Amino acid sequence: MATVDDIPFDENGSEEEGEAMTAAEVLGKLEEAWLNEKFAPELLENKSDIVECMMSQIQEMEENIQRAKKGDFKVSLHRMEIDRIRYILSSYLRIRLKKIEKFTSHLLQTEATLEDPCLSAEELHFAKQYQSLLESHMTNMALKHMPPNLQKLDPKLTSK
Amino acid sequence: MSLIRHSLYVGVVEKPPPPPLTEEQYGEMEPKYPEGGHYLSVLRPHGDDCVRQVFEEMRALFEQNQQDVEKALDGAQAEMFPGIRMRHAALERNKRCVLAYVYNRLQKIAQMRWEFGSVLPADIKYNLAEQEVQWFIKYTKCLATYMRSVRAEGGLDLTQDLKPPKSLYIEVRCLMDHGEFETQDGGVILLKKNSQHFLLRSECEHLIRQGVLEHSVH
Repeated sequence: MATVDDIPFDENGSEEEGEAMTAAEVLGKLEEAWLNEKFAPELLENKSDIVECMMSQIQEMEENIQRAKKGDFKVSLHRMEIDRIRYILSSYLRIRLKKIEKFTSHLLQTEATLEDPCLSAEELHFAKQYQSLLESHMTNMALKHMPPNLQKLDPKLTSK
Repeated sequence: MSLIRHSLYVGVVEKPPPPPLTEEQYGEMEPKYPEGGHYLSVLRPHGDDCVRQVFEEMRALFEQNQQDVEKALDGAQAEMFPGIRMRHAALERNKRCVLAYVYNRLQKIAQMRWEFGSVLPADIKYNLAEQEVQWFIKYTKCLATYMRSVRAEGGLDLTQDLKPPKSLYIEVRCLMDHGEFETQDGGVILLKKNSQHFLLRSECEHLIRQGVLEHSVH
């Protein structure tokens, strides 16, 4: 049976990742990306590889905890660590989502012209859906009741 | 003719901001979870009549303008143009106000998805227009699709972990009878009104947001 000591913990860095990065390094990168995103007014490039890597890391840790002995003191430490990482992850993705909601039409316009896209595939999908939701609601609630020459949304005024 | 209806602006009422933290409170405070989720700013009923009046006014302005444009084409340009311009500016202004109103409400409603979860409380729903309720449902779907697509089995629920975790277990107090609740390790506890429990934070966060539990801070 596996003991708690087998749980890959960030400090020991035993988990090798694709580009030979230790778990601790990935976490560091994630924290950096999170803080940058948090304090930048615009949407920064997506770091979906780091997010993915960290997600699988969390899953692995959780599985290890399942196997560990019950009542072991270290288990709660590892749980806490997982909670913290999960908070950073969700907070990071949340901040990005809020920015996408705020600047949807601008992002969708510029996205096509950029060489490396800001949005990940999933975020792009969300942005498109959100945009069409917004436009159809605006049309139904307001625009279609207006005189014919005012029924369009002006992209210059709506995309910030 | 009044061009803007100021009552539109009051449609969204902001709650005054909480008092700022004192210096000692920084970092010291346990994250306090919203009580029953009612700390959101209040959403007033959708101003249907008001908006309809604006639309009627716009129609009147538009018709008047069309007549004047025809007159202007017949040769009376100099007298007609200022009037046409003024009415057109009024039309655009009205459009902008209505759109801003609609958009602001949408943002509040979207925020509620994050606060209340995917089911709206009845008292809030009462204040929404039918189309706004539809929008809420669609937005929920859209968000759920995104959260599922975050690479992992079962996705990542972004509406959880809204505050940085301070401790693994927290003390909670039951505010209403909720029935039995199964914890992660298989135990079953009875959530009875006024009972106190010591639970995993990640497990009971959504119950706190629903107003079933209250996070007791000492």
